[in-house]
Amino acid sequence: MAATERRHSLRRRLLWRLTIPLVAVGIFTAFTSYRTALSEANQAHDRTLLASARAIAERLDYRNDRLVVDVPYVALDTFQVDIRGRIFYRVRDPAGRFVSGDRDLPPMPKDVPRSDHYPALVHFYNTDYLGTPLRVAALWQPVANARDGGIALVEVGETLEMRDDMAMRLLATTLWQQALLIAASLALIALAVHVALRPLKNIEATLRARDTASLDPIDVPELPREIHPLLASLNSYLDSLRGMVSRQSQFLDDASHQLRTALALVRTQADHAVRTYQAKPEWREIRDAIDRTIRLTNQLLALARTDAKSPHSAQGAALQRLDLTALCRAVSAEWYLAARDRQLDFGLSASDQMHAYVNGDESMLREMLANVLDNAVQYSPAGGRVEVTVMAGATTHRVLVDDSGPGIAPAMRTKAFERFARLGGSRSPGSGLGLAIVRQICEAHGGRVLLEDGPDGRGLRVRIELPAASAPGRVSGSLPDSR
Amino acid sequence: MRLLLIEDHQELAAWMVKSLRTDGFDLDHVLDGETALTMLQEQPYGLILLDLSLPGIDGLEVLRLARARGVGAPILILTARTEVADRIKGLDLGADDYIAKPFDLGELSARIKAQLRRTHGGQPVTRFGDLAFDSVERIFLLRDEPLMLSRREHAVLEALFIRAGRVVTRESLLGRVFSLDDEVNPEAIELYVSRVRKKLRDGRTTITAVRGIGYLLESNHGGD
Repeated sequence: MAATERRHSLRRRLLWRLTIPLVAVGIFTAFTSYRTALSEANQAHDRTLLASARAIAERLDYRNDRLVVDVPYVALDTFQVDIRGRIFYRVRDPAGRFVSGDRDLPPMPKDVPRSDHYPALVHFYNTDYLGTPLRVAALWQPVANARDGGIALVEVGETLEMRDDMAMRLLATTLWQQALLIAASLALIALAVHVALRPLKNIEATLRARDTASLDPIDVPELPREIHPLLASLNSYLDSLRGMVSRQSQFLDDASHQLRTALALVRTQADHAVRTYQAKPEWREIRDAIDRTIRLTNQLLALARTDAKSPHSAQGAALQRLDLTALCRAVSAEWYLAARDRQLDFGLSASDQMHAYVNGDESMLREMLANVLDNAVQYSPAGGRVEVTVMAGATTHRVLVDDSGPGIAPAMRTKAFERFARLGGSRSPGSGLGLAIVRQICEAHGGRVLLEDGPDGRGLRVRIELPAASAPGRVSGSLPDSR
Repeated sequence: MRLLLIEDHQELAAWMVKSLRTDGFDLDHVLDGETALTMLQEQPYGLILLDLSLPGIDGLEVLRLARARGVGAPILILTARTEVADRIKGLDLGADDYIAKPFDLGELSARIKAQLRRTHGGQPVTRFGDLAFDSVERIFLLRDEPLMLSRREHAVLEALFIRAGRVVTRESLLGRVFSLDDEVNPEAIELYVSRVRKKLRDGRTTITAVRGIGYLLESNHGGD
């Protein structure tokens, strides 16, 4: 789980890599467009301020050699559209004497540059008046009468509330628009990324739906060019793996055929010798040794075959629907005589009312049960008891094989499933492969096998659990049943 | 009656022939399928032992051709392959039994006898212990006295007789005694078996019940 979380996601990476620059560009354009809009707005305000100054300047007049101004209400009202703003003005004659307005408006700072936007001689600057920031337009207006002439100064100042309001409004609008733009772009990007990555999703779905053990080529329709090489190399890898598996399985077939034929010859020869020279016990011993070799060979081949086959069986092709009870009976039937030879009480109990259907490979399951029964019979002392119990369940069927042998100590039970496991030293008559085969076959069928104490604390209980096969459309219910 | 052994491994075949002759079987041996098919046309055989891996015509093909040409004798497949697919295919193509190499000669011999009992091997009377089956009259004889059996009892005894010496499971007994449309009660088998057992009285041939598994027809004085 942790490993998959650490792994980066192509989708997330793409989204981040597209989103971060997009947001950065968005913020930058928001900033610059706000700046531009603000300066435009300021110019518009300045123009109005200048218009007010001009309106005052046009009213300048000499009366009795004194410069006077008749400031109309309208001049101040022109741009006082907002009650929040306040207007101040001051007029000084060419000699610099106060003529009209607010006498104590602060003087114009020395270094204010002339504005180039207007033909008139005007300066714009910011200052402070009565503790309030003020934007001032200072207009130099030539005035003259018969005796005198010069340039009067008209200063009109306005408080900044309106400009601030406008700046806020501009900022809000810009931000709102940019946010909307970014959001829309992000949605489109997410959609585009989703659509572009859909082929990967398709591959994922195809791989997920497919059996993990399958070596068939993977085919995903409508694959983009970029992903095609990936799938092509995966398929060529699968192809070579398939070749390897089939060569291996062919080798196994050939080897098993050769070995079995060779063993069949020696076995037949030994058998013949035993019959012909019954007096000589050596021949019997030779035949028994050959039988052990045969058993070992068969077990090794069974192990190799389940190894090679287990991916197969998961595919369902080799699987049949089998009644576990009938199978246990059939295998037990074959072991009965061997058990009776050892004076064992050998029997099976199962409920006849319920079938215990499993999906399985019959020869593998037979091999599994044969190994369990072989152990049970071999290890039980003469006069002992071997009991097979089949219990059908709703989801799991169980097979219990109890013997009255020495059992296996709990600490050794895990080891007992290892290949060539030797637990009791020379006591064990087997090759040490039996339980390994049992577990391998059991697990290949999605089941499990456990070793437990025998029913009354003596002997060994082998518990096999196999998943129940689902009912095939309830056909069994319509057949004439036992009652 | 004669048996035909089709086996390409010369040495193994020679030893099998030697041993089976000791067991009282009379048999011919051929190394390949083509010769075998010719031999089968020339004379009737009581049973055919067929190896699956043959040079030229493959064993399964020999089986198919033999059945197509009307060879009715039981065919027992011998093979070193254990693939269940081969086995199923073999049985589908008309083989009667299957024995894996390496085999026990006693087992092979018993299987051959079982097949011959089933098909009577061309003999009118086949025996097991003090029990015999007359294939002409279709009756069982106990110590040469006809045994009176009902239809179901006869079916039970026949199923056990064919596989005498081996445990017959309840499932296969049910399958042989009752047809699909019978109202089958699994316990009914016990009833028929106990009736047959009674009729066998205290003879040398007895039916042993194997707890929870099935029944075994055996001859108490060994040898069948």
